[in-house]
Amino acid sequence: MSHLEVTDLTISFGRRRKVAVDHVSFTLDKDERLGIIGQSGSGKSVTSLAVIGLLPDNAHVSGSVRLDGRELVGMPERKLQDLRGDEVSMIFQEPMTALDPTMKVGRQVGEVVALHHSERRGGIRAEVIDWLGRVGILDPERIAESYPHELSGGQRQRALIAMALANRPGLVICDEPTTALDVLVQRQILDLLDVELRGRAALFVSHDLGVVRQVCQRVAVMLDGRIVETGPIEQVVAQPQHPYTKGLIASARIGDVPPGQRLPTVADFYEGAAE
Amino acid sequence: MNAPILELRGVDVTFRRRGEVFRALHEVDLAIHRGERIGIVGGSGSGKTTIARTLLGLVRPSAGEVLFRGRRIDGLPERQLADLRQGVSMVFQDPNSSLNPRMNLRGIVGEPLRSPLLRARGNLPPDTDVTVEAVLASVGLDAEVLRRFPHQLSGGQRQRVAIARALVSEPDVLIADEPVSALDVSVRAQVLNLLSDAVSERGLALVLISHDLAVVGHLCDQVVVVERGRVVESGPTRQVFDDPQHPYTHDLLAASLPI
Amino acid sequence: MKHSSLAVGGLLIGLIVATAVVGLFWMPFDPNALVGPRLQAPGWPHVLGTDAFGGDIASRIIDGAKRCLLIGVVSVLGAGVVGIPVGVVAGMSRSWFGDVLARAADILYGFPALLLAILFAAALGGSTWTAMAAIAIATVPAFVRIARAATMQVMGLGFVEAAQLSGTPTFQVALRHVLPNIAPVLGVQASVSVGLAILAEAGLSYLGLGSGQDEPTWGRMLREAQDQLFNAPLIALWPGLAIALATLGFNLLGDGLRDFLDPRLREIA
Repeated sequence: MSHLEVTDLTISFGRRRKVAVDHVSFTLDKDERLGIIGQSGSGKSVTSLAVIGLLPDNAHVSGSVRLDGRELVGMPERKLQDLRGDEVSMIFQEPMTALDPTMKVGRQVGEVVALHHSERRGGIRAEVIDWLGRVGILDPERIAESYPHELSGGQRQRALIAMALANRPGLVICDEPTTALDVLVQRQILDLLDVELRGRAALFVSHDLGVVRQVCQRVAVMLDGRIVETGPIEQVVAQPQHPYTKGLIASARIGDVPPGQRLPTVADFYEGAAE
Repeated sequence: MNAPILELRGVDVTFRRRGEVFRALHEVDLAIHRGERIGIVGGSGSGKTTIARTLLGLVRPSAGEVLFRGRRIDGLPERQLADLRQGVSMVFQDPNSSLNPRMNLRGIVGEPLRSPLLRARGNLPPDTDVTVEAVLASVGLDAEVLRRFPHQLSGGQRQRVAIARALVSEPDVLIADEPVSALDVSVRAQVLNLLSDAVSERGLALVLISHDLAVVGHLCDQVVVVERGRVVESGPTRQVFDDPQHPYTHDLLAASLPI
Repeated sequence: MKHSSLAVGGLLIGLIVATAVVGLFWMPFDPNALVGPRLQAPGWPHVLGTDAFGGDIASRIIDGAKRCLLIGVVSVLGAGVVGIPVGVVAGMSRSWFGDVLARAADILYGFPALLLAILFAAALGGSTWTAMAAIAIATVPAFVRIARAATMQVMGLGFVEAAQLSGTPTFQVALRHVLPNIAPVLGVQASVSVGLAILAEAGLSYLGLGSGQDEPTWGRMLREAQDQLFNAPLIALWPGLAIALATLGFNLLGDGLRDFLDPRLREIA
């Protein structure tokens, strides 16, 4: 049995039932990393929110999401809270909004541990410093005593990663974790994730195939709420089947096109993708 | 005549942050010639956006000179910057905040045409629907979007509107600060093609700021590498990318993720 | 229920506005005339009874609605006309000037409207106009503050700088870029301020610093009712209820507007 089993997941919003996710199915084993690629509006973020149970109230969900055998669809909020931060955690795109600006960083990281393992209250501070160091923060003691706005974008994202991993969750969901970072910091964070996600299941949501390729072995391509192609990442990149995937790959190869020549766009391969 | 159209000479820029003095730029020299395409690359905090803001007269250098068409413009008050305002346009990074959410596209794109400062120079296109429709058409947008508002467009479309606004005053230099970084990868190629075409067709100089070397590699013939406010390497793009001299350039190239 | 504040607030205000509008054309009796036996209980023809002088309470309430709305709206309008431009200038200013304006507003903020009203009443005699002036002046700082804060937020957004780079003069930037984007926040403030103004007026009239005998306001009616509190407590109930509902209505409207605008703005982003 896989660690995460999503079957026929369909999510729509509001009274007009706008369909965001359309009969999506995939599985994830305990040590596996799946990248979900798609443009804005493809449903990739909504899918990840469904897996962690953070959909808004006006969402209509049908289908099944089984985490380690437990059905998450329809699970009461209190039970979901027990899982969040402990067995499944999420790393968001905007570290500035995911961190509480009025709370010191060390305390926020420690809070995640304390919430789920109150028996360890005594030794949490040491553990927090340890984690901050482990995610590559230099001078973790000083950073633990700092507020989010005093940190750089890269440091904040590292702190978020520490928060997400502190309780050693079996599933980590990353939603565009490096989109707000520059190319140098992005590389560092991706290397860090590659190391720290070992032994866990991970879902990596992004619009950037190159980024996903650094971390994941498999990829699912989403378009208009559906998965249009899936498979081992190297194979999908080398031999894409669906025209949309072909378009994504071709338009991402900006460096390969001689200067002055027109870049291929997704629309050259697939008409249906609204801009 | 090959005099640069826009130039920084020995520019230092310092900011005061919470009482501390922070030097954003150290002795930066930059020369942009007509029709030239220069990329400015570096990580965040490297100073590349400060360079753009200094070129636009938004930031005053603490040392050195900023010249436009051979005339010094640093330190001049806004009312004496008419030449600069018409001659140099900017495309911002974030398509969400660079367009007034309460103004329709006709108003947004036509804004430079309403400026009394620019009007006084005498060679501005007329402030008519026709002018705006023409420039929107050149970025691939239909005339019917004139009455629409930014929130009714996608991110890529908004960025095209931003480019249209930058082109409407018929400038000579276009500064684009991370023009596609906030867009989905799948949309970038389209916008980059547009930018490239617009610049070629009008014979504009392009200053492209990016942390994405692939973008710069494709669009620019010259590149300038900035680290912590200093220019650490510069030259023809192909040459710098194939044979980087400075370790920072190495790092930037190594961090790229090609497909 | 979503948007319940907005709905209830809107309903209450609608009721009061409707009452005032009706009052422009018709009232059951002349509000200033002595038309019946004194202190009559609610019944027919005096639906809410009569007061200590024999005036019809219902008509006086309707007349009061006109006056309260007038005072509330005019004083807030006056405060806005002065406070908003000052706030916007303070917010757009990049030098110490902005801070000076803000501090001046803060000083005025600390000055109670009551004291101003007393000063005005002492100097010019209490009337609707002195009450309005005092309330307006006391409300200016609230507008300066919120206009300044909202302006500073907008100034940080790219499109303001883009306007400057397009050669747009500062005044046009304020008019076409700042104002339309701070308008929602100002609307919320205005609504809350009208509620407060009505309450302030009631207080001033109650103390005899507001409208005169021939210009009944709800506050004044309360004052008149105070003498009869043990004989006929009901007389105090009607104006008190009216004041409470009006203040509640405007507050709820302001709250509801703020909630209504917030998620929509996020949706748009």
